[in-house]
Amino acid sequence: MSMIQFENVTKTYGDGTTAVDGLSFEVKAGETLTLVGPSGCGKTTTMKMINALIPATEGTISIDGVSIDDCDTIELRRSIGYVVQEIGLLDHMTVAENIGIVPDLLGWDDDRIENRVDELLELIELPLESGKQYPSELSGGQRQRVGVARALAANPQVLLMDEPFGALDPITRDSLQDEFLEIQSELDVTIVFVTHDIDEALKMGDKVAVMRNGDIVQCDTPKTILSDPATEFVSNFVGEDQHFKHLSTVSVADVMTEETDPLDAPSVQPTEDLKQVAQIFLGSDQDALPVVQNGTRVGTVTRGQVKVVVDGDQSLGGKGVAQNV
Amino acid sequence: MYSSVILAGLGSYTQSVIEALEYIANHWGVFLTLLQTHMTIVLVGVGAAIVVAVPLGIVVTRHDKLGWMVMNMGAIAQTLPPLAVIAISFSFLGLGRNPVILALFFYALLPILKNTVAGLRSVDDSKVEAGRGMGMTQFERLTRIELPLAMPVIFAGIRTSTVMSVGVAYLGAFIGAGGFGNWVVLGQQQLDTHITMAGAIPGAALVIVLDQLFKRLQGVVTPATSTTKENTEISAA
Repeated sequence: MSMIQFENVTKTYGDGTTAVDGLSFEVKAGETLTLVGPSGCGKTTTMKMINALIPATEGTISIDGVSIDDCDTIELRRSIGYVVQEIGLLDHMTVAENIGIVPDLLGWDDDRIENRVDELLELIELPLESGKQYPSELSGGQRQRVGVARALAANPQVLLMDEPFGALDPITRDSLQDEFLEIQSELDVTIVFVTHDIDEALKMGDKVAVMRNGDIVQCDTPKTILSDPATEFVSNFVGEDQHFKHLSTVSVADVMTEETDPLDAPSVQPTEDLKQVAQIFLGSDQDALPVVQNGTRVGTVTRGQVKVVVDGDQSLGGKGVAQNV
Repeated sequence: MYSSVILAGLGSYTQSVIEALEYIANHWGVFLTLLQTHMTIVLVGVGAAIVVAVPLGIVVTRHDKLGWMVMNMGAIAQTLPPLAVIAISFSFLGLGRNPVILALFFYALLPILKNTVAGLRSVDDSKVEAGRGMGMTQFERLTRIELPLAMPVIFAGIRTSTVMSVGVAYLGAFIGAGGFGNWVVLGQQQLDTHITMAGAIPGAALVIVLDQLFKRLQGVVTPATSTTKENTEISAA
């Protein structure tokens, strides 16, 4: 069932520029769609039309089957989680107050807000005492976690994320992405995620929509985007090392052959992606690696199996991996 | 030789300060009345200016054309000489405190208005946008995001106005309003510097006390770590 649906949506600004041109797509419930493209492609406009921060000029946007034109704008926004870069936190409020903003706007009583805030602090793995701190006392990564917690506070069905990890250094960004995928796997939430970073888009999305000049050029699973780019623009945008990127969308469990004899050699886990396996193969003479789960041998992954994926075998399953990395 | 002259000068200066303080001590009851009157004039005038200037500042940041008019009116209000305001307004406000409070009100408007506008404009758009995205109404964005973040700059304006107003309130002596101006005028009439100084010194002390008081108050109103930013923001204003 589709949670978010765009039908022929166009956004034209007063000065005549068309930011989004006749866009139609849907996001299924529980799915993450990443919108990716060069700056000015309309990805942010597309996202901001969902919570009516930018009103659409033409067409219909529906959430859970109801057109947003039929909703009260304020209520609509309160029902949708909104994550922006860490700068969106309010410096004059404590971390707990920041997280509790939307519940407070919705009129929850204080005890309920307090419980919810504690729950969320636990979810983002911050100590409960940090609720009393001010955002300026936290690190960039912690602030961004608070931003995510704030968006989740009122249990939204839909989450909009506007380049949430864009201001972080690469290492923090990577670990926050992993953490978020873990959090997300425990929630039943539909996500629209805007980024200009194709690697992030491929990692975070169940579906990736590559945008250009206000239109979606291709909307597919990360695997299909990599193995079968619709146009030259997409393949250029994905980059030249797409075969290598492709590896990061496939897990060891997808390709390995089962085996149980213990073997004394460097091993990999079934949840690891093939990019990591390929790196091990590149640095050693071995042709096969044992796959070990919880200390028990469960299979073997070979050089040949990795090569098949690099050469573009499309029969393998979709994302899956990234969530477990 | 010169140093002895300077020392003698310093000595007579210290001497007159002491004599001024003695005058205050000997007229303690009068002093308290003058202090009360002076503070009432300042606080009522500045209070009225806050009540008018802060909402006007909010209007200025929301309507360009209206804002332009308001800012110019604020500037004109400050160029009105307080003495002239008193001279003109006592014909319908009568003698006493009211004309002084009115003059002080006009004088205090602009710094508060200007700083309210500067404070609101200095709020990062991304914060306000985040507020919109979370479903805050325009009023909620103003009270929960914009005003709290602008508060240090607005307070700087209030402090500036208060300090200036303590000086302006001395004019009250000319129209029977009371305040420390009474002793300044009395000292002049009697050619007695000690009485003049007994009127002037408490004014200077009052400026320091009120300034510190507002600084404390500002810390209570904005508990976040905004005090460190304060100086840069005042210069920006």
